Amino acid sequence: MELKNLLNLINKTFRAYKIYPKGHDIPKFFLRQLWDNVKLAISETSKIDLIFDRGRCLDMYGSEIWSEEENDDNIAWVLYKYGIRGITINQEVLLIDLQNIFEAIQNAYVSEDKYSLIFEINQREYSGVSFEFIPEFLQDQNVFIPETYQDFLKLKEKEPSSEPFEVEGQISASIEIPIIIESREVFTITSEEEQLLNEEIAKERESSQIDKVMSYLYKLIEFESEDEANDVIKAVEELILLEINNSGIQKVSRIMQDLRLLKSQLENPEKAKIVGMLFRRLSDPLLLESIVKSYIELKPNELEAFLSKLDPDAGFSLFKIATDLPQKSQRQVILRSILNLQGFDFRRILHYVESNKSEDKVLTAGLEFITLGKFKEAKDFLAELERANDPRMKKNLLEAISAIEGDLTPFFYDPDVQVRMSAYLEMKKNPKKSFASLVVERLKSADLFFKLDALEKKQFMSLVPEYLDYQLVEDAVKNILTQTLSIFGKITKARKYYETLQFLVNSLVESKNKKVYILLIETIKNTKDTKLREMCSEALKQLKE
Amino acid sequence: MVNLRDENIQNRVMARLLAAYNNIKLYGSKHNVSEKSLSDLKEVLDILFKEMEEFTIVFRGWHVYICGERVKISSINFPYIKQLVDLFQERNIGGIKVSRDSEIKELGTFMEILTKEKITPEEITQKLSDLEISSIRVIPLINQPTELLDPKRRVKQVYFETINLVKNLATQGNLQRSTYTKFTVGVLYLIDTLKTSESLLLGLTVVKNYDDFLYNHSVNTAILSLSLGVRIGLKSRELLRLGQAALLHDIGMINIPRSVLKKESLLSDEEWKMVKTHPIAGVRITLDLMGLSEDTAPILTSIFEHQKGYDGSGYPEFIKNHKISLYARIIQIADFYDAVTTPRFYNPIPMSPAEAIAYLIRYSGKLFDPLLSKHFINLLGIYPLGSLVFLSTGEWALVIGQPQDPSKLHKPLVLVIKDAEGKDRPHQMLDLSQSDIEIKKTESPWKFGIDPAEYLI
Repeated sequence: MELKNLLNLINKTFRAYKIYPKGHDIPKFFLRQLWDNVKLAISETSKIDLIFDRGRCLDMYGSEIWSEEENDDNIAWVLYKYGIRGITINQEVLLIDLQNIFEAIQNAYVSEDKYSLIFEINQREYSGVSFEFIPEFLQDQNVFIPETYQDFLKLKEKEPSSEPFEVEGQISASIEIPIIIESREVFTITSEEEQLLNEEIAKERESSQIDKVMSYLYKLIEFESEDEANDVIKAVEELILLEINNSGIQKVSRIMQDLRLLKSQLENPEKAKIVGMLFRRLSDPLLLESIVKSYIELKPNELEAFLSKLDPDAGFSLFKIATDLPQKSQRQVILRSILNLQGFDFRRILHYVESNKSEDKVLTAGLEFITLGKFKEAKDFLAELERANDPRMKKNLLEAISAIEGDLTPFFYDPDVQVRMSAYLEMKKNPKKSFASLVVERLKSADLFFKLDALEKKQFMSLVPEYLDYQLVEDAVKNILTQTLSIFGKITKARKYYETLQFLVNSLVESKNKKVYILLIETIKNTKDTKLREMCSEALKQLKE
Repeated sequence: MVNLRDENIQNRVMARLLAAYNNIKLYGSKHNVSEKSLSDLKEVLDILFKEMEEFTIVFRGWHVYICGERVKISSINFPYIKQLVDLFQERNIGGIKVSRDSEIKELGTFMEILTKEKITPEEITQKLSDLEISSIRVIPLINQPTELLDPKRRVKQVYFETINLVKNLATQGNLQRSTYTKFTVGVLYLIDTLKTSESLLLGLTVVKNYDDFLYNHSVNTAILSLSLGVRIGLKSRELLRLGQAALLHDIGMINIPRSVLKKESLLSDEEWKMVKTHPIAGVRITLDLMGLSEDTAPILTSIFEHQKGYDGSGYPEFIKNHKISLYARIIQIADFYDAVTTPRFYNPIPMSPAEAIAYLIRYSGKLFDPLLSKHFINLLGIYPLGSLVFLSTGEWALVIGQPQDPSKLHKPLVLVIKDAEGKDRPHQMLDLSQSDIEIKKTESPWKFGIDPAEYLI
């Protein structure tokens, strides 16, 4: 691989990074191509030294390997202009190293700051790349550099002002020094000590400095003045906002939890108020909207944890944000977090839903919220909606009514199969004695066997085991399992009939109810229907397994 | 396996190259002395030829690269580097390449050609070709005016500009991004300078009370901390944070009334209480300057903790049951060392550097991290730069360099400045590691009105 070709590729990649926005595929394509060639070049030589001299790139020995016009499309010129004199790539180089260099250039490029490139380049770690700076780049013409000691004397401090250092008395050098020399232990570092230090450095790297500094800052809030507390809180607020921006929402949740604990422990009410104000500021509707937008798809759980730590006042804003979310799962994240806000004002939300019930999105979110929160205070509102018999919301409505343990009978008989199925589901989730007679009635109805479609049958049968402990339901099931179909029936309706029985037997087996075993044994013993017996035997086998 | 970064090998190559050149210039290449020095040179080159086909020495400004590895500039090798750079620059030579099959005789002939003043690389190449010597080639000099700055001057420049950066940062009420960037880049330059010219930069830490102690002290603490950080293997980003933390560790002092700081007597309890607020004030200023983030957290932690002892003593008192962070433990040692070796109003004769080291040893494991203390002693030596020592010859000398051999820490490079009667005498440099002369005791140079900066700046 000729270095000149490599430089051409480097320059192309640089220009692609310059032209295209972050994350674009074209710079990535060039980077990949460059990486393949760097690997090739580095396998031929142990390292690549590139020196930038205005628009030229030189090798280690000063020979020109590449040159282009001195302008901002020339990487050598740009690096030189921003203070990078040389780059050395060694065998440890990784793709991420190259990516980091180009991203640093990309970031620095938008800034007019003379030092931006050196700054950006050094914000990243490199495994196999090192840089050499132009020595005089930092030079500040206003700084006087003393050439001689006489120059230096002119600038000596007139009024020394230092931190007094507390030492325990003065030490006589004539006593101490010979002791040092005699005992080499004081400066000999053993391999065990070296290992110990390395382990400690590794541990330090893993530990979170931010957690530590936060714990100190909490102490400042606790022990220092209110002004001090205010300054610290402002810095914490800045951190929280920065972290939210850097997708560090999980960390932010932890900080907020700690702050809430701190607030509850602060004896000074003014300081508690200062912390409280932070929570209030973080509950700003516009801020919350942008946070929800950023995290709802990618990190819903972390978002929920974060929102749950907000001020109770945030509940209302969050509810309004939830109404705008298209997916139920997304709304649920927000609604669940509102429920976790201790002391939020449900009545305010309910009032808002009542006033805006004509808006589907508000009503949907409202009913989902009532369902999640099982708010009995919403009983009248739900009854009113039931009376209105609005077909749009029946499913949501019945879930809400079920959640507050209201009557599901109207939905059980609803003409819409989807509503009926939702009712079965709710009856299964929240079994109540009052529903047992509805179950029996349906078990006894011929419609169950011959009219309802398979999906509905399956859904209905799935709730039966939940009611098996009610004698009247158990009897109805026994009755079904012992009856036999007439010969005529067998000819005309056998498929639907056995399909229904199969759904019942399957749901019994799946429920693992203790009574199922006896029911199946008895059926096998008593039934004259061979098909049913086979069905039950098979089910029994499954149960035993 | 030869370690090309081994400073011993690098220094031997340069020293023998120069010795051969100087002898040939004086006696010609066929003289016994020249032949001996050429054979010494060949001997060290042969060590390298075990690993490689070709030996190269390249000069880029004041940077010397031997077989591709940059040579760290130190007070030990600086004289060789200076002579070599002068020699090659005068002849516009950027470097030389010597192949494995070269013979001693050829090396001698080449050196003899080199002794001709004003000879150009083209003329050397022509002469070598006429003599059918193909094993030695010269590399033309790249014109690099920006790098022709004397390393000592460069180190000084970085040092005093860093002082200026800290001062600007501390006195600026509101930090602008550009100032922060420049401050960060200043730390990077400090790190870069340490990597190439550590001992020259460490030598400048004897500069005390320049302009304003606070800023001068902060830069000295940063240099000492960073040197220790490099020694224990911190990564570049970690060094950057450590450097920033060290430069800002005492920034809270700007809030302490000057009447307290320039007080000539010991401080009262009330005044001490005031002084003890400086870590918290420093945190508040740094929060204001840089904000709170993952990047600034280690800096803030260090400012919080730099007055806490290894054993948990010290202040702020609310820091309990926390292990003091590594950066804070490093800064604490560096801070202590620079503070106690600096003359102050209340203590015009401070500890001598060696006394400070003795104190560090005594309180190692109590106030100071024992392992870091050991590394610090290895860094500065038992007799750090600027120590005034009394020699077994009865003369007084100032320590100006550390021995390369870590087992000879008690045998530094010194500059003899006073005779046995304490009178000034012509200065003489002595490498005690190569001599039988011993150090008998050490004193604070300030006690004799000696400012080590006069000799080391």
